[in-house]
Amino acid sequence: MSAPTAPPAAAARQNRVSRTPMQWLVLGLCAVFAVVMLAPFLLLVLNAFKSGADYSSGGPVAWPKSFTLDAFRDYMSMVDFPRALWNSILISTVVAFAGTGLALISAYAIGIGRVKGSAVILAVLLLATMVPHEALIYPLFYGAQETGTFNTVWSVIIIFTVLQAAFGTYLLSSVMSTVPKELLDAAGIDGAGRWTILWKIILPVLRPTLSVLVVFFFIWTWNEFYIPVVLLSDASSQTVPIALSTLRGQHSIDITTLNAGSLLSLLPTLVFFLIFQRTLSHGVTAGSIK
Amino acid sequence: MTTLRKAGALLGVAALALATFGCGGGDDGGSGDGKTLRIVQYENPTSAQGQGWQKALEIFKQKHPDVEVKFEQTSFDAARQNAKITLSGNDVPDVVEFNKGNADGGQLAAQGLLEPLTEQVTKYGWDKKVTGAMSAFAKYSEDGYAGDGEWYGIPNIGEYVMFYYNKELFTKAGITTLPTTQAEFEAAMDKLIAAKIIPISSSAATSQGFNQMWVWYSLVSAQASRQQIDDFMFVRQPVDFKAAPWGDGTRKFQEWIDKGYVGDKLGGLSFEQATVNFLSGKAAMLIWNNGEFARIRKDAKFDWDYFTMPGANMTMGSSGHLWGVPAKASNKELAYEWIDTTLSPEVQNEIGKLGGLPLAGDASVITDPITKKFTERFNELVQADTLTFYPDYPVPGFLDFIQQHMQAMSNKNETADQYIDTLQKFYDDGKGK
Repeated sequence: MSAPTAPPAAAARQNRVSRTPMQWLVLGLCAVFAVVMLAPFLLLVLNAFKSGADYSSGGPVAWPKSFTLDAFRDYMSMVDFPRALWNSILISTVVAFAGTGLALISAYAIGIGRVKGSAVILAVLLLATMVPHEALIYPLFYGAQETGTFNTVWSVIIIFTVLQAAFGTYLLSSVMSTVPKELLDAAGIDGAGRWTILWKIILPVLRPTLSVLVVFFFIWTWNEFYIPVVLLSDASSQTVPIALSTLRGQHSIDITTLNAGSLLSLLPTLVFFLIFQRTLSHGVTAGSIK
Repeated sequence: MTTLRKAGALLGVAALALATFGCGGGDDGGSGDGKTLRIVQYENPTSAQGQGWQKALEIFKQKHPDVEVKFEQTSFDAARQNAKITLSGNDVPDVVEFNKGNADGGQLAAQGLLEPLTEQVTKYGWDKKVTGAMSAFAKYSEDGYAGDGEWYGIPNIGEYVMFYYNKELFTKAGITTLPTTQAEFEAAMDKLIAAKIIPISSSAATSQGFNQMWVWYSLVSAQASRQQIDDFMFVRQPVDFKAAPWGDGTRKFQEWIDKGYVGDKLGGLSFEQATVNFLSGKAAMLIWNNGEFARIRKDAKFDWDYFTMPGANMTMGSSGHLWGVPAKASNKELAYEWIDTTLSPEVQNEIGKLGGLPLAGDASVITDPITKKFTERFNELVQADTLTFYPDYPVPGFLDFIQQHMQAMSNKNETADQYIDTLQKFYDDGKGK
């Protein structure tokens, strides 16, 4: 989103006086677009601080008569949020780093090393990420039960480390195949072994891509619902999205509490994104200019 | 480079953790020592039933001080989606709450995942408390059809569908007496339209827009007999949807849409938005069940009351969700005692006082007049055996099918006769016997 706005802004700074009507138009459109993008989030914030009666009489869009923290209080009393937050952070962090690490190692073998049938291996890995989770759930459930990890966060950590690493391997191995062969040859002549090449040559080159993977894996794992909801039925191992889903009845919804809960659930990912957004935007464009 | 080292360290930790847990084996679930009771349910803890169960927990713990009770909260959707998987595992709860109907409870019973309760029902006398139509979805045949066979579930409460109405808007439109027949009801709605007030707040989004479906099925129920509903619901006799009550009810439904009784632009609205439209005074009535009773009491800024469909033979309504004991549960005796505790007079009356429509409560102990009247009306309907359940129970996938057609009819893309034709086909293909 920031890419298209950058050139007109830069041009304006150089030459403040002459902003052409076209540039004003683009700026205006960008502002409208930003508001439209933010609107659902703003609505969520607004309704999280409304009282139930205010919401019922005015609807979601109306400005409330007073702001209240009741919805947050209700949410905290109905759900063990700190516990769910800790579980989510633990699962997402471990998966993000372990998945990226595993992907790096396996991609090194496929992208740099020579493995017979590497294309087939990649296809299989890609397939694993494309199969709907519903199709995987029975084997995963029985697997978790046999290993004694059912109802513990470790079942979910293992599964998502593998699933995310499968995607990561596919991505990284194709990035690694673009690393110039001369670089590797030069390192080899200098006496670097395979291990040294991975840590000293490949890793620094791929760092931006790896950071993006860590961020993506974190957010994807954070938002996962289906597999965790099956494997983590116990309240003590629930994640944030599952805790949130317990608020929904069949024939009644407490909208303000749901909004408060959603806002609380969203904040950690938002904070995470803000901290890492520099790495993110760097990583996305990394390799585009060579 | 430091972040990398950290990453490496974390990787090591993770690997270690995997190794430990991999070798750990794990416990074999409940050991059946009669010392633990694990309950998994999905009722909102602030609802009448949820609070009643808190009381049941107190009573149970007093009676069994040496038993560790785990009372776990899950969601309706999660319980519904996962019941088959989790109940087939080793580590199953001792008591579960599950959804009634052939597609949910019926499947669990047919696959042998639930323990038949018939023996316990006689032993504890639960059939004295759960009677008539309220017990219909507690029993399933070997093939998983509701209506008769062994008992697999025990409901605690019931529910019924009503029209909540805004007294101030009724007065404004010049409606002085409440309608007692369908003709009077339509005349009242004509007056509301003349006063530029939307008569019924409704919704027809394919996801969560259930109000139109309830209007339609209420109109069908209004002309139906017990026999006709049971044939449809329990797939006993072939159903001719062109004939009464189906054909007439559906055509009446189209008439109501065309006359604007249910408002317009319903295709994107959910039941939550329909409720807000009623509470904000945009519409004079809301069709819904007791699920929003407590909220309307709390949030309505106007004088309100409610009535069931005027002049109707039968009314939409059913028993609540069911308690079941998984076939693999290890502490079944405690599970039966828990179910019995939730049907005890103390717990049932507590649910009743909070407006939760208990099946075995005593309405005379309720002091609040609105709640009392509301409960007495329910007891009347149960005693007369005129509740018609929800229309999506008989066939798997029926809810999505009905919702799509409710949306099409509300958008005036489909006529009553077109709907009846596809409904006939879907029902006959899907009923499976």
